[in-house]
Amino acid sequence: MKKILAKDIGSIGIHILFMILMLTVATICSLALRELGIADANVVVVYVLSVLLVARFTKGYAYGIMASLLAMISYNFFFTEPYHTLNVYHVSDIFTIAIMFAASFLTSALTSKLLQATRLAKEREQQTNILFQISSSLAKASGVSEVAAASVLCLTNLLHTDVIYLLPKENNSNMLYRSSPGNGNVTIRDIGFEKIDAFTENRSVVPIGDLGNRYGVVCIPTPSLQENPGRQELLPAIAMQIQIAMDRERLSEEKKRADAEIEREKFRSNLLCAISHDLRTPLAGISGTAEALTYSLKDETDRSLVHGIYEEANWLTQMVENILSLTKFEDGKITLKKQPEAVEEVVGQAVSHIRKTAGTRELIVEIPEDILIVPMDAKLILQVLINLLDNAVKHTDPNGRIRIKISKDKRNIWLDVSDNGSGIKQSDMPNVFEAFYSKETRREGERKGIGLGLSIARAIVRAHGGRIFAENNPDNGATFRFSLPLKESSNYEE
Amino acid sequence: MKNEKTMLIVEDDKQIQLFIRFTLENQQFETISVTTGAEALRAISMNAPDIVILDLGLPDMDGVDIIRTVRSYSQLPIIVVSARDQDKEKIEALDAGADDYLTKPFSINELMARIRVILRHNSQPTANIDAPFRNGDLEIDPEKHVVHLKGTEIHFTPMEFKILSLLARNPGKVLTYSYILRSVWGSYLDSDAQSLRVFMANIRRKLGEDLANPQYIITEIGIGYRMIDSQQ
Repeated sequence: MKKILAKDIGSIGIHILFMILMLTVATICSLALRELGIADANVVVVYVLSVLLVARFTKGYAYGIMASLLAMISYNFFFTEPYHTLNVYHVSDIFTIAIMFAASFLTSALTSKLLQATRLAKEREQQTNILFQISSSLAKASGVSEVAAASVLCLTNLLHTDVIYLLPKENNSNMLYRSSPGNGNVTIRDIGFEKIDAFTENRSVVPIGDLGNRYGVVCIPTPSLQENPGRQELLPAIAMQIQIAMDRERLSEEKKRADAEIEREKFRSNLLCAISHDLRTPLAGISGTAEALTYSLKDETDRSLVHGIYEEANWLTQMVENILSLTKFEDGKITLKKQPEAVEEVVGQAVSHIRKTAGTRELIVEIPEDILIVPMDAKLILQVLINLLDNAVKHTDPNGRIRIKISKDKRNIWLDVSDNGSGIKQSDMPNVFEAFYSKETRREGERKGIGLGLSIARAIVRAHGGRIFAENNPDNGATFRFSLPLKESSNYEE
Repeated sequence: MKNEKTMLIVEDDKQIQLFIRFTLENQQFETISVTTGAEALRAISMNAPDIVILDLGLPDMDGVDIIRTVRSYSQLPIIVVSARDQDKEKIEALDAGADDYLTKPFSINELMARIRVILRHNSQPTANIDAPFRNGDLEIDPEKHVVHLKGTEIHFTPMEFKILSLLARNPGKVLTYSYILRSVWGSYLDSDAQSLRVFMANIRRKLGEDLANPQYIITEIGIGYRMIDSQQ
């Protein structure tokens, strides 16, 4: 503070000296003019000129006004009768003095004002330039790290001081970007959180970012900010620009990550699809061969071994088909081939398909007297029903009962598949339709597997614009019910 | 005892070909196995098999083209074998004149059942189209337009009667939607498919079919209908 005051006093002194010098020169010139006998009017002009020069080369109105007063006094002292006194004899002299004062006063005021306006305009231009330079160098930077480096370089150029950017990293540490005036380099270091205080001490800290996204802080030595009040005003604008650049980089990185994720996902499902596809033919060979052998082998043990191969191969085939359906659905490769179909036909075929695996379980079908024709992709809805029936068979005893009911309301038909089996455990309830969800508890003899059947069912029903639910019956067992819209149009509604 | 019937197996997967051959030879059939469409066509003209079992996914030729070629000069029975996602090809094959189809992985029993149906129908002399015929409890008299079920007369509308007789005359054989529509309506429009569904539903109700356990008509979703062969 003291330094600044001393500096101010120094500049005031220089200005005053300059003013006195100008007026002295003007007085000497005027005295010389009078000696040469040139008219008094020129003396006035010389004084006004000197005031103008004072106003031009000093700052503020004060010196101009002071110069005007001094010019008036010195004119009165040297050039009006009686000379070398401050008295005036002639009325015309009073006029001359007054007009001279008014002229010099106005001139100095106008000059000062003009100067100030020019200075302001220059300052603005410079600010705009600085902001432009910063924004263009930020625009060129790609990646969060480059933006931080560009930021410190710009701020160093602007404030002629060393600037630090602390960028938080994911692993609880910070990247430190530092640039010092003169070398145009940025040093980058990795520092722990505990060391941050050492870098923020004696520095003004400008946070970058808003509440949602924080991109660290910029640290600038406090004294250099105070020396440059004009530049300090720019800081919020610069901080905003850095934030925008950071936002841009974050979004583009997020997009890159998302793209890579999609690519990986696509690759995974293509691979799964290709593998499943290639598994089909050998599986058909294995199950067919095993079946052929069960009919021709004479020995009971051999037959049961081969029958085991047959069953396992069939199970694998089922799994492969399920994976294929699911991957096709997830890729959106399946396009629904909707046609008006009789619901009872689809139900009928599903039941006759499941009859083989249902064994001694009782199968009951309730259909309304009306013939219900609903637009659907019959092969897929058949698959939904088979999957639900399969699920019911798995969860019932061999003497259990499975019931299929078709009903309708104003907009939908409803298909219920209920059983009197073990029901759904409360803990499994939220996940029954999730793919790759394997129940924690299994029934005896139940194969551990990934429950794809129900998630495929859900995918198909949703693609038809229908809904699917699972619930436990009041007495025992569970009911799975799904709807299909009677009319087209409500496709793909969740 | 030799069956004296010759089966041509057209299948490019060795293992599947092997077990089909094994099963058929166990049933005392003669077999010829080939792996390409070109070989199949040669074998058909050279060896005159009684039934062709044709895989639709051959490396060299479209299975449907083979059927069309064969049908241009012969009514030789053809059973097509297809993968699960080859519905379109399956229907094309049936419409091109294939007699029946199987979807991989298929059971040996299914294959044998198909073969038995074809052999029996081939051994029967072509009946007079107007002669009455029966299928289990179902008796149909085309000339008098009457249907008896377990001795009781059931009334059918003319259209229902046409569809029912068409199915009953081809027991055990799957008839595609378009085949039924072309035979009964004389034309095939997609919009007719819905009417066919309704006719079938009415026929089923009149026959008193239990959906869970049909006695007469089986629906083959996406393909067509099949009358159950009571002699199976």
